[in-house]
Amino acid sequence: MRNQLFKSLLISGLREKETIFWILLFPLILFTIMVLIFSNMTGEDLNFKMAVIDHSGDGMGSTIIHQVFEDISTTENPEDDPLYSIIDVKNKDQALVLLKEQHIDVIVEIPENFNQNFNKVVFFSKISSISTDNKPTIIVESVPMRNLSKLASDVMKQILAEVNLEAAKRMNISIPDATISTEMVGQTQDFNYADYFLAGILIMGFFSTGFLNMGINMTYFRRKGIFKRFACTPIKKSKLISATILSNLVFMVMSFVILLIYAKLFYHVTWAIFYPESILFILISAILSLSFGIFLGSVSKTPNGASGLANILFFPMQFLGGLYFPVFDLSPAVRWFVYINPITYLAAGMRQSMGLMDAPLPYYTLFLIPILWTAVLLLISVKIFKWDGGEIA
Amino acid sequence: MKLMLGILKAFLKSRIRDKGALFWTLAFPIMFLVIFGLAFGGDSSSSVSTGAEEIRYAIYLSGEIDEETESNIIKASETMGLKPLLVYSLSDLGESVEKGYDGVEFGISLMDKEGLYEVKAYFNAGAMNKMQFYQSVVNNFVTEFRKTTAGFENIITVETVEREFTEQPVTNTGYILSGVIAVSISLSGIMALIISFGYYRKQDIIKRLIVTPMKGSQFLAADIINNLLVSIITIIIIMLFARLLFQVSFNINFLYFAITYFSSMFLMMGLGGLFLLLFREPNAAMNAANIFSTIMMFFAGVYFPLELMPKWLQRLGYILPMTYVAENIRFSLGQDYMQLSRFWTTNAVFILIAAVAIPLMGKTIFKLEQI
Repeated sequence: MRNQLFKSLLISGLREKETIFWILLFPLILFTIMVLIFSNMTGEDLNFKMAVIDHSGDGMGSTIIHQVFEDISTTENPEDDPLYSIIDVKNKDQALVLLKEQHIDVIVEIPENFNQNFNKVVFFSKISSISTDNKPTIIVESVPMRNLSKLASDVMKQILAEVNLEAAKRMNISIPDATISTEMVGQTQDFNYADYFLAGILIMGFFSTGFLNMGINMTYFRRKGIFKRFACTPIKKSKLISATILSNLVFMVMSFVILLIYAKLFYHVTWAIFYPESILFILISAILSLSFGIFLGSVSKTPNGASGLANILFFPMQFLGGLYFPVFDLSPAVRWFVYINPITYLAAGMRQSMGLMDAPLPYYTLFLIPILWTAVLLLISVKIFKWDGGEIA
Repeated sequence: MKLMLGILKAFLKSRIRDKGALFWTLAFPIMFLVIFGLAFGGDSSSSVSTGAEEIRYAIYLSGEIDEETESNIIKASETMGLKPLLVYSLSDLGESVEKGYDGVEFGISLMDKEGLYEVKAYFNAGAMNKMQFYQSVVNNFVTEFRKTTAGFENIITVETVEREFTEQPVTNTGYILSGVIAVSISLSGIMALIISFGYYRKQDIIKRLIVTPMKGSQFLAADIINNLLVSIITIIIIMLFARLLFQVSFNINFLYFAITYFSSMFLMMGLGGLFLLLFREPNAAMNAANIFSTIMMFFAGVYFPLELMPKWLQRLGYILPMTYVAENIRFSLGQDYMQLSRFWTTNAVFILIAAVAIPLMGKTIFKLEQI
């Protein structure tokens, strides 16, 4: 009988387009979007538009600067965009209008006394120190609220800092050389955004099942008197509950398999999700999400109410649980939520177990907090759950 | 008119009674605002770009580094607005970065290999969203350190001027929250007609209404007014929340905001209507609209900068209407400047699309129900 119940619940769930969309299809869409955004946000196609206003006339200083600008505004391959494209302007006013209207990202101005001051510095700096007021200055104007403009200004400052070093070398000033390399900390294998988001979206899919399917369905059963009707049949109510849990577990497995096949085929994720510890986190995620479902089904009186409560809980939990972006460096105003949120521990634990990055949390908490949440939710649910209380009372 | 007002009243009552719809129209945008405001807003204003805020970093110096170099590091750090935390082993360095001890955000190890400084930057994999910024800080720090060591002062100095083309200073939070308002308008607009027309059709309510003296246009007008009213209440509440929670005061140009609001809502309603025509079944239309909205939300440049993405993804962003809704909203709330000709053109295009899509949807649905 339980098998039949389970089958009918599963089939009825699969007939629901909403279920198919939110549990099976939506995770694929979100996974694709996230991987596309984060793995492509490299800035490789960056092309800043710059206006150069030169009041300085001819001179050594401005020649060097123009040479640098020429280098950064040309590419070997004519089909590629250079880092900076220089836009011709007649005067500063026109440049400001272009900056205001977002036609350019940055204005570089070489003042009238630039060459004069440059020569002074180059020829007399060894004799006497030059005051800051008399140094050749380049003015870089940007709009910091606009990402591209701010970036254009920052990169320009770095380029001009390099120009300084180069000039020093030519003046036979000994500048020590330095090499810079980088190392990632808290990451135990080559980082891969597809694996990172696989873990996050997988948990999201599981919790969607718990919150949006299990919780709402349980409320619906009670509201419509289905639980009560079952009471008149030889079927035990507990069998209905276990069939509901089992059918939701199958939805989770389906969500997992579909997402994994998709991610493997199109994004070549690793098999790290099958490491024993990762599987343990998958199991805990499934149990916790079902507990949330049972909790919702117990506290909500109507399916609409359950849906509202599910969204109120699930929405901040997924965004502030580290499923999509790192959360441990968020502002203190939300950090408390990050630390009480069980999804934080599941996502961090899953990624640690997959060898993607170490969790900045004590190891035992990765299991303890979600298990504690499960226990508390189930205890509350057992205490307040009612079989009746619906429209057919 | 009386008939239309009656329907409008019924629509409003039904909206208030439907807790699910109430969540999506009211609670969801507020939650969105609170989460993204708290998570990404911060209290930084435009002056943040100077990088003047002190950043703490851990540094490990190998045995051959002398006191003079150490003092150069401190000098370079001061110039850069960095606060070093000296650690005594590479493992301590790694741990400090990983656990963020004492507010450490990244780490540097420095070795002197016969006059060549080997600098290694240590970044926390968990803070990948800030990696580019930290990399740039490290590069600048190394340049500063090399200059300090050589006793070299810059030949060319750079003076930065931060321009603002808005009447009042713009804050990070204000800029992000104006994007959130654009998302909220777009989402409530696109779902509006699918929810009412789609589901009323499914429940045969439109069929029943056809046999009454009421005209289809009256029903459509009442539905649109209902959605506009609910949505504007949501926007007002969002703005009040933004003011109370984040002290964001938008410098609203009411004329531009009203134009943007109406044109954006009409456009999105029109697009929702097209989804309904395309899929007929309201659930399918809703799912398609959800997919479209999700894509728009992430690629409209509200949460992630479009400019850092490859060209083809940027192009995708520029064909999505939410990108332009966000631009117009930022402009009308005084968060950014845009050319007036661009503003009027986008709004005119929005209205034009809506003027075709909404009546087309209404007529088609009523025709289908008459058969």
